Amino acid sequence: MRVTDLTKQTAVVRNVQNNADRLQNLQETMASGRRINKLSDDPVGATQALDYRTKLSFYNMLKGITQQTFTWLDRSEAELSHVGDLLSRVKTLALAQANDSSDSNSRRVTGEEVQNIYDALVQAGNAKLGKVYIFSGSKTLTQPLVEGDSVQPAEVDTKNLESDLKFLVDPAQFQGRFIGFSEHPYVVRIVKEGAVGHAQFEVSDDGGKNWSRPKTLLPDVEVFNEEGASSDKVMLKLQEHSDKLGEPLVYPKGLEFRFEPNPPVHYQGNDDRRMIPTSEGVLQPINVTARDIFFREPDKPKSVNIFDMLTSLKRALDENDGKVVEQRLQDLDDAFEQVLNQRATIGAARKELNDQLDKVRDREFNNTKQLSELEDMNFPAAVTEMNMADVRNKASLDTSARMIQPSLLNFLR
Amino acid sequence: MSTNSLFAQLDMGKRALMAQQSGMSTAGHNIANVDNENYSRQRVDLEAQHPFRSRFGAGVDIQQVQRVADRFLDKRLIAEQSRGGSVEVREKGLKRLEALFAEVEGFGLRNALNDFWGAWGRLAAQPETEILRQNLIDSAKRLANRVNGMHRDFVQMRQELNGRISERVERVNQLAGRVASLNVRIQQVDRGKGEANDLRDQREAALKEMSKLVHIDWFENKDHLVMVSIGNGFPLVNGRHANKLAASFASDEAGMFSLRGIDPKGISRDLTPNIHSGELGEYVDLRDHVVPHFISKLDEMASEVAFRVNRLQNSGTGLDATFKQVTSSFALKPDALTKPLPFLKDGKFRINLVGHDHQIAETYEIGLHAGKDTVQDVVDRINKTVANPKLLQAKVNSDGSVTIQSTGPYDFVLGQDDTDFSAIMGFNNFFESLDGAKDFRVNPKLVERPNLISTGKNLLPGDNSTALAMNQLQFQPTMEGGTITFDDFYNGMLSELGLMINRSHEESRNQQLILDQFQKLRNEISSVNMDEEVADMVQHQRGFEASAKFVKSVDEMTKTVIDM
Repeated sequence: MRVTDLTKQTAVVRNVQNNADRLQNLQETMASGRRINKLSDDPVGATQALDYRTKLSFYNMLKGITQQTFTWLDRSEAELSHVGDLLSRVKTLALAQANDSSDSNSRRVTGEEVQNIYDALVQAGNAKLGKVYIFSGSKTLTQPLVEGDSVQPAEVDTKNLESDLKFLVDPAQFQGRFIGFSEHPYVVRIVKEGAVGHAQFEVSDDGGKNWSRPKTLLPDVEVFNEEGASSDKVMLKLQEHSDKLGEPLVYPKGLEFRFEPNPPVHYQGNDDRRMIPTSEGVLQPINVTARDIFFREPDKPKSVNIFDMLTSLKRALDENDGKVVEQRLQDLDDAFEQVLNQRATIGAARKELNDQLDKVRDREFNNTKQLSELEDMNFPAAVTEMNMADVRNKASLDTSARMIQPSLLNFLR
Repeated sequence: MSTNSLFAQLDMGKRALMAQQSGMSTAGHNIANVDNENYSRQRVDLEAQHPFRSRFGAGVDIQQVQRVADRFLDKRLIAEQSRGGSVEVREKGLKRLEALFAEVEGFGLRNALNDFWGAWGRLAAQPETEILRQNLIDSAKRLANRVNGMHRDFVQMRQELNGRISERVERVNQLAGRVASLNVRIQQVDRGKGEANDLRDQREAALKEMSKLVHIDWFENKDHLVMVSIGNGFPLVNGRHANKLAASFASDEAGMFSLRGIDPKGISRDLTPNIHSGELGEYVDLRDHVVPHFISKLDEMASEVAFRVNRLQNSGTGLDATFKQVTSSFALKPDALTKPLPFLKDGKFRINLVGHDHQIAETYEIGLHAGKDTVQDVVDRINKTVANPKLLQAKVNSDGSVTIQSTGPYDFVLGQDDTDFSAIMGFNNFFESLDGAKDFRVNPKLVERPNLISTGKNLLPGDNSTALAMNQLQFQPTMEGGTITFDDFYNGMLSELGLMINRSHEESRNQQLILDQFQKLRNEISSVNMDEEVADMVQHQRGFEASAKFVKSVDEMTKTVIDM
């Protein structure tokens, strides 16, 4: 092989270049501490690293959401615990007033306290976190509990009058007002024609299917269903005299006064569950509604409408009726149970969230570890390689120097 | 005159001196070009003078100054330049593309997407919180900027490549002119019995550089003229003349050059599809195939992200976000108005009337048929279903868009839509993207009123089902006919590019090795070894001295003869 100056020079330059290139790559790796600095360093590894990053970002979001949700759950729990305390207080009060030794005065004072507790319960049901009502289902910007008006004008119905009277009777002259709260669609129907004090009526609590036995019509009709479940009592105030003529008003047979069901407190929210993501594809409901807490579910036999129950208790206390107070004790226990169940739901959600958070943290740790293994430099290996590259570089420079410098000219004298 | 005559011997001494001198001069020439890569070392061919009717030799004669070269090796070395130029440009181009993705550094599209889906998740946890809506808008804007930015960078890269193409064409023409003029000079020198060694070196250097720029076919004809053709037979250098390669604006894409060969009669021919190799061929390939491939992938992804998000957005409701009137972002062209609406699915499209209490007062269900209903059919069916022009009316506007308008006291919202009608037309879009990644942007109406962002359904402020579904899009198979996720698709793009870079890096290294090997072989034959030349010099010097001594001796002998 013929060696020429150009071949020597090219070889030297090429070798020095190669070594410098290797050193620079190593230096870049060492400086960044990362094995993958560009896509082309390891195309498969680089995209895997991106997937790990995506997961980490997702876990980070989950952690953020979960932390936020704890605030929500704290608030829910605090309110439910408050509701429980209030109901215990009612129980204590009711127990004290159930025995015969209590007098009407102490019952009246207790009644006032029950009213205060009632108001506090409505407030608890309308609890907010920021601007959001937490017990409203998904109608979170709507106040869930609204107190009804205890007075409503009676709807006068003439359709069951005897046919010849139907067109003669002006329903506008019979003005009645219902006072009180009930969930029942009460109907009061005149069964014997006459003025107040003479006419007779019967009451239905199911919109007119079943009727009570007839009673004499008085100016204040007690609309009351003895067999009804939540022994509520509504008053129907009627006029004794005609407005225009001042004559006694005659109530015709078949005239009906209809009561729109008017619970003391309405629920305006809905039954939607608020779902939050807790891990890949897992959603966790985190809310209970005011309906769950305070109202009766038709398919749950032991459930109680707490506001109905307290209204009834209050009236019994006002009316000094120790027996009804005693009857309410069982309802109070059920109500307490009902609230406890909702607290348990929230508690279970918290536990689930905690468990998922632990899992997410575990996965986050594993992911970070795997990511590090994937893209971080192996320091000892890199240092060893660096040393070797350094030695190689020096050796090549040294031999290059020896190869280029001398020429025949150096030896010609 | 007998060779043995003293004068003949003096003549012989003179020729020896000249021969040594020319050897010296050639050594000097060689040493001077020791660093010149394109130089082929020269050698003086000496020949012993044939004695004329004598038994004694007649000294030395200079035969020629020869260029030491292996013609086949040189030809091979020139040919290999094309691939060398090609892989070098390819590697550089791909690395530039890689830098545009900026993915590993953490500023890439993946990062923007992660933030975007994450913002939906955070909003889902608190759909009533306005600051989180703003946060979502911000991350959506960043995503849009990233998508636009990548598209812009890719397009700009194509323009740069285009610029390179015209530069390279310029250089090819210069070199072609140079080869043609060297042809002329070499022919002249050859005719004058001179030796055009250095001109040939120059011509080969020009061919070498030209071959690096574009693949050439060439040969030297019997008149010593080099003929060069490119792009399947276009004669670029035709002996003493060079034709022109021109970068002229292509007819099919504004601003992009096509390569045309122009012959002396001014007739031009499109060579673009025939130029594959060399720097020029590679720039064309990067410009017309590689970069557009990634642009179209980006477009595909941006359109799908927009469509998936819009579909959910159009079916959902925001916070207090009711409409008096909506007009579609998408407008149908006149000829599309009479055709069945594309992408429509069978099912029901719903519009909800909303009262003053923000409760849904009435839901209209409009049944649509895929592949049959034109946009006018859909509008007619909406009007027929509502059946009360005093409440709600739909119409096709003159520009091909569709407007749904409340004409009475009610507002309205769009409801659950199984048909994709609302997403196809874009009544309440999240992203607007008519042309893929280029104009991908957040609907300005949403930027202005973040409460329009759909988080739930039926105007329930605490309903987060839509936001959750948005968050889930990240992990759902959405691309390529619903088989892979956005991330998978994008990873596919990245690893495709990464592997292309690795392959081209490998090819570039291999090609470099091949080139080095050929260069080395060539250098072994043709390049200068200083020691050799110095040794030659010493030899010539000594030879010269000896020859001078010889002349002096003959002179003294002559003197002796004269003094006799």
